[in-house]
Amino acid sequence: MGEGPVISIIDDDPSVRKATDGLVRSLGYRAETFASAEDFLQSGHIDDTSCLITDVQMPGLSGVELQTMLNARGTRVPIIFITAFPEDRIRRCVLEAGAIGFLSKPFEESLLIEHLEAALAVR
Amino acid sequence: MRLLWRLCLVLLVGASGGVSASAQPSQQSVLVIDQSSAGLPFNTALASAIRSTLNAASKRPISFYSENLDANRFFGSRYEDDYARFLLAKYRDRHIDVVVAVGVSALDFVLRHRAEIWPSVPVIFAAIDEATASRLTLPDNVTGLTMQLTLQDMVRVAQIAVPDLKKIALVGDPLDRQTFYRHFRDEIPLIAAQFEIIDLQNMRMADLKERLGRLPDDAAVIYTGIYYDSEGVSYVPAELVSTITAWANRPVIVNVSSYLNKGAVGGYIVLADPIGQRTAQVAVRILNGESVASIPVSRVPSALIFEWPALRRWSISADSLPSGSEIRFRQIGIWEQYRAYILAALGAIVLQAALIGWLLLERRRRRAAEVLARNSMSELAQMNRVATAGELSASIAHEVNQPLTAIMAQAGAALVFLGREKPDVPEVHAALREIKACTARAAEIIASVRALFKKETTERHATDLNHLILAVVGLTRIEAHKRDVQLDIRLTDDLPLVGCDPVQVQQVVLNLMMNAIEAMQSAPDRVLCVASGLTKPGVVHVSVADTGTGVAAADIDRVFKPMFTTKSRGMGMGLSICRSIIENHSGRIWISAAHPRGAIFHFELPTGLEARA
Repeated sequence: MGEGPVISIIDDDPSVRKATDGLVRSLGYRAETFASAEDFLQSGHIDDTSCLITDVQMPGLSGVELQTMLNARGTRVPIIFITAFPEDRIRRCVLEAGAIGFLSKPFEESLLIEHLEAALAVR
Repeated sequence: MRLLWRLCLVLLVGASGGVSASAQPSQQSVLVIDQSSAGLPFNTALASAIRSTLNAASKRPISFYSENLDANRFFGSRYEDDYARFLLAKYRDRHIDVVVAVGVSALDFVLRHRAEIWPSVPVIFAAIDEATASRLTLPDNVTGLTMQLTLQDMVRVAQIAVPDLKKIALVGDPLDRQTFYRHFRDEIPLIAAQFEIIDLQNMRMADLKERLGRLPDDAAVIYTGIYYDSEGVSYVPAELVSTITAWANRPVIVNVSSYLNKGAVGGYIVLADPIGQRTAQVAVRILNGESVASIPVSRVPSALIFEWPALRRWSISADSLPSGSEIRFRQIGIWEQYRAYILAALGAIVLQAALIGWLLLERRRRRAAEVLARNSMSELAQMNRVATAGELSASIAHEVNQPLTAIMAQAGAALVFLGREKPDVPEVHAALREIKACTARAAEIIASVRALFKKETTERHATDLNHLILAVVGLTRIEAHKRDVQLDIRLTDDLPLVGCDPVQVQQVVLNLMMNAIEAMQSAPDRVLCVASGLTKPGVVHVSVADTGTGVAAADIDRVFKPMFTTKSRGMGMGLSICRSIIENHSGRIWISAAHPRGAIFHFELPTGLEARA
């Protein structure tokens, strides 16, 4: 399974991270997981990431800040946000900044698959 | 021996010669001749008053002699003559300076026989009623004192005792035979004109008893004196008063001091003492050389004396008595005698009872206030927990959402793995295991939230404070993150378990952490450090330090007081609740300054599992 798109997953919660990873892998994608945005930025996977699934609230850099940074760098990676605090203000903000989706925890796996496929199609 | 006899004789002769040669003898003699028999109380009292007054008033020693004519029981001219001869013989060698005649019979006797026995000796009479005295023609060298003793006075008293008085029962020896009361016979016609007189004089005692017991209601008894009854039995008149008052069904009126205190009503009472004293005073004047002619006959009035027991027995009001009446022999009840003491004691008891009552009331009020305070404290604690729950609801939702999210994703993955043509059993297996772990985590979160916010809790058990702190940290993590607060958790491993109510202590930790987060709102660097440790064996120490604005030195003592707050919202009860919880666990809570900035809240709890309930 070395080929195919890489899906990067950032979540500070290990169980969520692990579960998202399992779900992505079950769909046949390669997944990389990170406990924080900082870890992701330093991983060298930015450019080979076909889709980024990230939590919004995290210690250190938040998901929103990560999107701002990536956009500033010109890295146009599709981002799916998953959050336990679905605030309309943030939803509007990230969608305007180009995010593919803004999912509330817990999410239907079909919803994630839909967004994931949409993201990969964009790519 | 002979010489001695001679000497004695010389001395005796010389001594007697000295006396006769003296113009004024160094000692004087007074003879009292009483008309009554010896030993009668009134006369004895009178004689002793004369003697004691004489002794007190005279400059020279007085020889006091007394004779009793016994005229109530012995009479007749032959008896008198014999008695006079007896006295003449008896006092042949005795010089008498003054003769006192007590009673009219005695005066009669003395006047009749003084020429033969005591010629030219002054005579003073005493205890002769005014009416009798006024009829006497007194020879020279005789003066005296009259007494107030009338039947009318007694009738007056009887009218007080029996307001509708119609009959008077007269009890005593026949008046003719009496000496003291003989003159009453002169008043009888006047009294008989107004009242029916029931003559109970000179009767057999048994008959007297019977008659006295059935007197009509409008009658009163006037008792003079019984010296002997119709059967010749001799009595002391004063001693019979008790008997007569006991027999009589009506009030008994008497008029001599010796008759008092024997159940009679009383009335105008002839008193022995003043008569004796006045008589002696006259005697002293005569002994001192005053002429008898210069001392006129004077009057010794009776005293109005009533007897309290009889007044009560006959329901005689004290108001109906003449003014100046004296009421004697009050049978003072315990109440009357000790009224002041009883009132004081009662007062003290009442005061004491009131005081005790007041103290009990105060105690009850204090108890009630304490219960109220405890209830309101526990209510406040609950409100505080609910408020904190509100503040933390997002964090709690997040905490529960995390495992739910994981479960959902794992379930989705498992379904996909299962749905493959060749189901990836190990992946499904791993996913299910993860689901199980996440479910357990969610359940744990819910349990801890419920434990934190449940209303009633008093149970104490051995609690791992580190575990407890971590649970709270879990709940506040998101809040801290939202506010950009860095958590620095420094727990000392292997702390002993603490006997406490975990929900309450969790609330303390939660309050302190939420306070710390809030205190750092405007601080540049926001670090919340929660540490645990062992102060000394048996005491666990927990500190919550922030890098916020700190607490002003002036407020350090006040922060744990109710209603202290520097926040714009909130009641300021959080820290006060913390203190009450910690102190209720026999622990202590305090605050210190952190460096370079911020505040450190500390609390200590004894591990002892025997902590108070």
